Amino acid sequence: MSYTLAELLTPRNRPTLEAMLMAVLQETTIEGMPGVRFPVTDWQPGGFERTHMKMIATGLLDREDTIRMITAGGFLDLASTLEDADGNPIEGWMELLASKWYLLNRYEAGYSRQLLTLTCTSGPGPYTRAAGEIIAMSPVTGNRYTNEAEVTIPDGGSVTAIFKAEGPGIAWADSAETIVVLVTPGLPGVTVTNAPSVAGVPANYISGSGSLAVTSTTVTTTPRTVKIAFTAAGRVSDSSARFTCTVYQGQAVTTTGPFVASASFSQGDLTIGFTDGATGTQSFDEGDEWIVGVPGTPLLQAGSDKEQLSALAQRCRDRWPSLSLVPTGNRFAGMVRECQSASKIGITKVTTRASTTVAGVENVYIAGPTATATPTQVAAVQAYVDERSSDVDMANVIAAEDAPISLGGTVKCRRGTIDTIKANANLAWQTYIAGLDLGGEPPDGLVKLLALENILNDAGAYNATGLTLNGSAADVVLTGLQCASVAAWPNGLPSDALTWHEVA
Amino acid sequence: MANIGDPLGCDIACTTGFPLRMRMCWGQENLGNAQIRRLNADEGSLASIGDDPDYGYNLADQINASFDRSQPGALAAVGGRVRAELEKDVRINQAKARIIAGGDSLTVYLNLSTEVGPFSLVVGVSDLTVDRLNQGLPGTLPTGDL
Repeated sequence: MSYTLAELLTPRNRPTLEAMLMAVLQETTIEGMPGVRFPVTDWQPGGFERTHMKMIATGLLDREDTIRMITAGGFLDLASTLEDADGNPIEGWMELLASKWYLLNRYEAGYSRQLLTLTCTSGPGPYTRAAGEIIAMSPVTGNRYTNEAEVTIPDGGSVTAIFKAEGPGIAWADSAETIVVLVTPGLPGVTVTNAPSVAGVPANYISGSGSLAVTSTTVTTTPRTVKIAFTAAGRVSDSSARFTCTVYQGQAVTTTGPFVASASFSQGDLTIGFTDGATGTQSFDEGDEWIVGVPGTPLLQAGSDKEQLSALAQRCRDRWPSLSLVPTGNRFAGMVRECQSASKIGITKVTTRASTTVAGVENVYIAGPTATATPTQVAAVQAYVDERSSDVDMANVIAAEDAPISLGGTVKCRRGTIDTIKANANLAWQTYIAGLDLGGEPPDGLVKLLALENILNDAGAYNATGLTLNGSAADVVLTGLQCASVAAWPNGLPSDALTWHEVA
Repeated sequence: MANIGDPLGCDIACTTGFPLRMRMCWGQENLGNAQIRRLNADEGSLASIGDDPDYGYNLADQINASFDRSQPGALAAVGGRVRAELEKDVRINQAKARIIAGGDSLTVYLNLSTEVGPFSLVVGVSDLTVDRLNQGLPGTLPTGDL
């Protein structure tokens, strides 16, 4: 007997299986005994043979579902969408397929890590606290962070330390200058903030003995990534080193130069200083690169949810083009996903387009779960990709165009449920945005108003009226490279952006 | 030879556990077996195999250490549950039960009315199982605890 793929994927239900068994028990003659059928006629509940038959049917029912899962477990599209009878995802088969066939493990959820600055007035300090003893919180989101290592806050001074989110997930993506509440008692005179800095930590690929540094009189309001690439080896002192400067700003990529490396180089409101290494050594080599994102975000590592099965399936598909000797768009996209795996950098969305102006160059557009990529993320991904590209096939990593989605409308809830519903709706909306690819829901590139309504209803709202996205009671249409993001507070999350009423 | 035309049904003889030697039974014996199985089964114990979720009333479990037979109406309440359980069987039109307490056990006298006529069933209840003591034509239920 042969079965079609569709039959293998459609388990027979209990009534069908029991009907098959009953047909055999009641209608089939016993082998070797012509005309004699199975003699049992008592099929009341609790009957010996009825119970026996039901037990066999139960076993077959379990086997039917196992057949469905084994079959689906061999195909990426099917394994990544397997569900149980209650509609809950079955994740093990996709993970098994990815692990055993593609040697890819699913990404676990990641914790956000932020740089927090603790400042103490003159007099009450200094304070020293062990790891985990200082808790800071964002009053906007209620998210709390604890210090990763021992911290000493100087009297009349400040210290910057790494704080880790209390829980994993994309919900811990607090923006700069919002973590300003010190929860820990016993630190009078101490204030906290996650302020942006002039520049992020540079990605440094200088093989010579020289070094670069960036300074500025202000924290820039023009986020961008600056790459210094040396085109001629040499030193600053004899003006022999040459470099080009490439600026990535939004989707625009501008390269200028080559310039002679001198003591300092101005790029907008930045000053980049070049310093020679020891006398007699080569300060910079041709091919050396130095990449920095400005301004420096306090978010060192964005939290991430456990990898969605659809994303894991896509990484598996990326395996095949990655075998190509010539890098392709998918290979670069695969590199970005591997970069996320290795560093938890917070990039979950990626798409590529061949450059229309430069042959052999692929533009790689990236974004995080609920916002486009920061300059620091762009710089890190660019560096990761550059290390793995060939000499002739390269990628420009670009932050996807941000498309903030602001919400509007009125929600009614049963009395006493509002806080729970707000929290559930916030998480579900962030999850929805995080699940959208660049360019919105295919095929029309939508951010759906109905999704918001469903989220509110599923969260337990009694009624939701007048809902809008970006001020209009209609779906938002994105272009292919736009990244739907949660609009800045107070417009982006249901709890803040919507008008809430309690009813009896 | 099994009487497969018996209106009370024909099944493999069994009251508790899996029979080591299988034989067919029918008529009153088969129906009596079915009732003893009901009184040996935990309530809802067939639900896991997709059968009647309302099946079963474990009489032995009711007669456990915490059961105070001296309480007024205690045995009557159990008798009522026994009657209700047995009448779930579509072959039983009416069931009557009388329970006699004795020592560490109970004896349940049952008169069962079916479409082929009434018959009696007497079962003994220990703290572990319910077993058949007697079966036959209907008699007068003994007086005693109710």
